[in-house]
Amino acid sequence: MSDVRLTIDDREVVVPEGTTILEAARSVGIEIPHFCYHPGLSAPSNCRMCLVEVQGQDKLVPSCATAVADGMVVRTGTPRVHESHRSVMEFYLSNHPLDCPVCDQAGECVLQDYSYGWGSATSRFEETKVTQPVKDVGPDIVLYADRCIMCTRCVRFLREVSGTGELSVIHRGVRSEIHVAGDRPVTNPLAGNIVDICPVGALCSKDFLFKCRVWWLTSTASACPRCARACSIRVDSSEGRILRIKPRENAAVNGMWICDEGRFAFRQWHGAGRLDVPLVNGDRGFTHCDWDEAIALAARSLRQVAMRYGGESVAFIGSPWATIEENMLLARLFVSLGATMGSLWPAPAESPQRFPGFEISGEKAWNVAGARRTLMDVAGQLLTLDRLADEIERGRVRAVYALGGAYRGALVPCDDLGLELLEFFAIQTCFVTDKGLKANLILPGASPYEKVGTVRNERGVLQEVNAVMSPPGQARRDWDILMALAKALAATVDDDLTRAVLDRPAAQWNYTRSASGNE
Amino acid sequence: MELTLLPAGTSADHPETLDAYQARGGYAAWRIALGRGDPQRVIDEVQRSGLRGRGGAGFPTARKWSFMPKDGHGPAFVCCNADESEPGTFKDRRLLEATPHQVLEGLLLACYAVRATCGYVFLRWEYPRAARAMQAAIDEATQIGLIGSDVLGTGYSVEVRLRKGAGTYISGEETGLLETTEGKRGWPRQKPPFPAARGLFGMPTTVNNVETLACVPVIVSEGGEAFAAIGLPGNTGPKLYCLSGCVRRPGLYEAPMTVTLRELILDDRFGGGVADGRPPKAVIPGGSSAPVLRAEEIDVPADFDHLQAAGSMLGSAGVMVLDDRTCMVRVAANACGFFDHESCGQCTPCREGVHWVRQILDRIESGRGRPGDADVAIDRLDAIAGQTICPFGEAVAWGVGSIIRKFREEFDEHIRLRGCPFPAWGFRSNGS
Repeated sequence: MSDVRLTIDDREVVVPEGTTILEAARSVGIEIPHFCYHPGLSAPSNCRMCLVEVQGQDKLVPSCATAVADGMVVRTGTPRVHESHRSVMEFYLSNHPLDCPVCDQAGECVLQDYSYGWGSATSRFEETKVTQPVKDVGPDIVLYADRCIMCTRCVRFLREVSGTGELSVIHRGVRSEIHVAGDRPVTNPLAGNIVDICPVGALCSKDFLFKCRVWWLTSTASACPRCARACSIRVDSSEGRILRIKPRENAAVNGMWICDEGRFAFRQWHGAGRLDVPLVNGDRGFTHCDWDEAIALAARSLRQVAMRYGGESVAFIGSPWATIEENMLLARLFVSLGATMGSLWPAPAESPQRFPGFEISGEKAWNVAGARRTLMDVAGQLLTLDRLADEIERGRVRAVYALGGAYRGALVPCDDLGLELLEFFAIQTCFVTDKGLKANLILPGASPYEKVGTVRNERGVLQEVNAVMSPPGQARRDWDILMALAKALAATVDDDLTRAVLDRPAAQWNYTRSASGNE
Repeated sequence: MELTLLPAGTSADHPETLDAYQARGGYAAWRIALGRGDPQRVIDEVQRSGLRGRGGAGFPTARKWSFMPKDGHGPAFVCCNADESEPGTFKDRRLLEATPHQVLEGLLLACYAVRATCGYVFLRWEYPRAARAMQAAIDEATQIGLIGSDVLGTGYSVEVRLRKGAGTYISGEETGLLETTEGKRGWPRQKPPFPAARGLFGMPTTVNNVETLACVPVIVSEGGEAFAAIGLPGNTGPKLYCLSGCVRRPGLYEAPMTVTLRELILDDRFGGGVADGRPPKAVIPGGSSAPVLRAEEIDVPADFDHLQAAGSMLGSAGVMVLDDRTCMVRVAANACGFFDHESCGQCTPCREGVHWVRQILDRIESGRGRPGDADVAIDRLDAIAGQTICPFGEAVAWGVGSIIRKFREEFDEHIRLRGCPFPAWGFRSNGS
């Protein structure tokens, strides 16, 4: 495909053949206002907001649907173009309810933004507004049809990306309305994206509705822990609570979308049942203890086993829910103790879900690839859980220290591991599960939304993850727990360890921040 | 074959049979064209005839056909646009109901000319008699091998299919028609790409009006020159006019395009004068989309070029006569009401703007007009024109806008009087 050379607002632009004017302008930082155009969908050019002047053409042309041509001269800021924008905005606002004060979208609404650019403070419209209903279109989504500007992004998403086609346009003209076809509500696993791409407050997430004005939200760029795709996400929180999660555009990972499992995954780590104090298993079963006690117990027990049976009798289990850094610190710490055997909890496996424009991985943890590679890298080998069970049964492994961190209800397959044969088993995790109850020590760790570090997805892409909040109660970040343990075991190694861990990914794996940028 | 679209002996009451059509020279053109074995010769003949599209835009038919790829390998289509929905227009209905074979032969010739593999007749749902007549014609012609594979042993294969719309004006727009034929919502497409490049089902397609196609058999059998001898260069051939409104003898008339609007209305061969002997006030020459002409502007030949020069257009040749008792505000409100009802709603200026203007006009007519209303209406109509996906926007802006501009004094008077000064029994068309 050859390049095309054109001029946009007196700037020379070179783009591949087939690029639209809107995209060509965008590539040099010229933003042409638009509603219906979305880079992940077809361009119907129905909003008429992106009309620009092309030299030699009588009419203004829709920049989203017009391909560039060699020598084309485009102007996006002439009086005629601005007049067109103003005119289209006046049409939009004529029947719009203008209910920004009670609208969830206020503050991140394209219609509102453009009103500042091309709207008018007064209205010439003195007629009766067309009113339309508020209606459920799915279990998680409500449609304020009054606010809808008929851009049809939602309709196109459901046809082109999810391939489920639940929404269509009914009626005609000014009474056109987005509606659920038949009795099939929008329930597909990608449904939440239509709320994200709705440029106005028409499609709202019931989960987020009326929870918070968007300007009070703190946005944190991170990755989604739900599956091995580790989609780039933006976590919006307020006062330490996660209120909603949206996709971040990242061509290398998730494109522009996320699935609803990932969108609502934070509920699986937060709320009832979350472990927030260290638990020690003694004569009276599990009892609370303080951190000093817990770390001292772990260090003492591990040192005893190592002294009695040799360092190789201590094994470690990494976690696909822990970051690369945490897994690396775990492995380095135990290798420095003389450990030679390490393993990795497998992620829960489901069938992958494929859609015309998206795929959800069947491996249900974000850092499977990163954890495996890190542990292999440090320990030189990684045992399967079956092999580890063998080693425990033969008495070659007497103590195990594990990272956990699975979401609520994810049972790690440890029943056949023979943990009862061990002299010491400790785990850092978020929930007390059956496995946990066999432990001598359970340390309250952090959820994926409380961590800082790096993960590697199934395609090998490294992404930075950031903490949205602090762990609850006395729970700590797993990195901090491991550092405390390292200090208790051998106070002199911690600086070395920290440096080794923090330097390593950057130096060896060309660690880069994931591309960010919100659509 | 007689050089007419209203042959003697045909009637909308009884669709012409295959035998009757062949008896007056029908399908001779089809046999001639196939016998010559060169599609280009059909295009050349139509080129010589000067035939211009009868659907509204008046685009030269041969040129439209020449846009079709000559070396296409996949399917290509010709769609017969039989979605006649323009207010004041009823010419295609007569052709479909009375002489369906002539339309069908024209479609076959068009298919051959552009090397199409299939012809579609897209018929408005409100024309059930036309649908029956057309289907019967297709069946009859198929039975004797004029349609099908290897037609008359020439190696050329063509199918014809009848599609019925679901009752919406916008399905008559070229690309709205394509979407509807594909079974989708009748939403026009942004052009380019034009149908000749990407049309029906994404394949090269030509869309022609019923009357346009009905002219083609005559042209091929009698020669392009004979057709061109009728009328003036650029405006050739017999033309159908739909005369309605305040006229003594409303109806469908055929005339060469040298006929003036005044003749159509006053001449005894046509309208026979304004009804009740009143003076005419205005004439809309080409359906509701065509700009209105004042009474003093009607000494103009009812052809493509003269009407365009006069600031209007021949359009669908739906000539609507309005007498001096007619309230022009009501005419504008009525037309705008129709367009508001028929706007597909896909693109913003038309969806929001037509409804806005309609409400303004309704207010003025019902005595609730305010000073400045007419200016807002004109401003909003001008903001629709040129900004929409399809020409519907221009149709409203030009048609309704011209009434406000040319009869502004009536709008101002309504506002001043807070009511309509015209008798309630004045002009009323159908519509909402």
